[in-house]
Amino acid sequence: MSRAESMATIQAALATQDSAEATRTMPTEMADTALLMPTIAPGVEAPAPITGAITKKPAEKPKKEQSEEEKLKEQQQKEEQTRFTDFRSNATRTGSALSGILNGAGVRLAGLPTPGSLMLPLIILLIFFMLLLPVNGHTRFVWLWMVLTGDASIGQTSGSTPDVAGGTATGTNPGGTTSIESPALPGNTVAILAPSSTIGYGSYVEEVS
Amino acid sequence: MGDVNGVVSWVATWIIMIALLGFLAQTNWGRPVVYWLLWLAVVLLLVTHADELTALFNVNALQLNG
Repeated sequence: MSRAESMATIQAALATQDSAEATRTMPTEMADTALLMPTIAPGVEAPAPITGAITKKPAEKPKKEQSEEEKLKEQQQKEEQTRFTDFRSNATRTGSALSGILNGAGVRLAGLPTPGSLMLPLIILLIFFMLLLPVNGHTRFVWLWMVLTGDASIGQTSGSTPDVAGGTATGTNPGGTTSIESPALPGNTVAILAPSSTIGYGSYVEEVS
Repeated sequence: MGDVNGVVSWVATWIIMIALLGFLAQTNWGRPVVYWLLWLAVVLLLVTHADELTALFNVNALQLNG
């Protein structure tokens, strides 16, 4: 035998040996896996094949209908829940947006300038109130000036005749007993129109010099 | 009786208005509102009593209708 032939026979023998070893190891591996996974049993019985005609089972049908009804109910409930949650989320979003808008408007309003604070327009309003609104023929400032200069006096009108040069101003004091009596006015009298009388102001007459 | 009712309602209206403005003025955002409303009241007072204002400055400048 030549060296090559001997090598070939050796290789063939080795190959057969390897296959034999492989087959030998397989059952052990399978046994190991069987130990690891005892649920996978090699001898599992296959389910018995269905033979003969398929018989109808009436008991199963109502169960199926019930399950369908239940499913429908569940679906409806889920839909209602989703609608409710959507509504709530929308409502909270709109509420937060509204509050944001109102807060923004409040902040902008608070930022508006108010020079002189509230007292300035209030004082001006009071001054013009005294200066422009006539009572019994004259404005309050005019009456005050006349009282200070002695041209008018404050006194009771019930039964007593006024001791001044001139007549009393015809005015209606709502529920009042006192009235300011005006003397005869000097030459440069003020021709005042008599607009319609309003409560609190009284009516006043047109005075002509 | 009608006059008394009118006076009472007039006074009550003023009191309510003053109370409302007072409450508004206590807030941050209400203060400027009241401020500018007061200025508006000044303007309205001047406009509605233009005759008296004219007579105050110059009696002869008063142009009377009719």
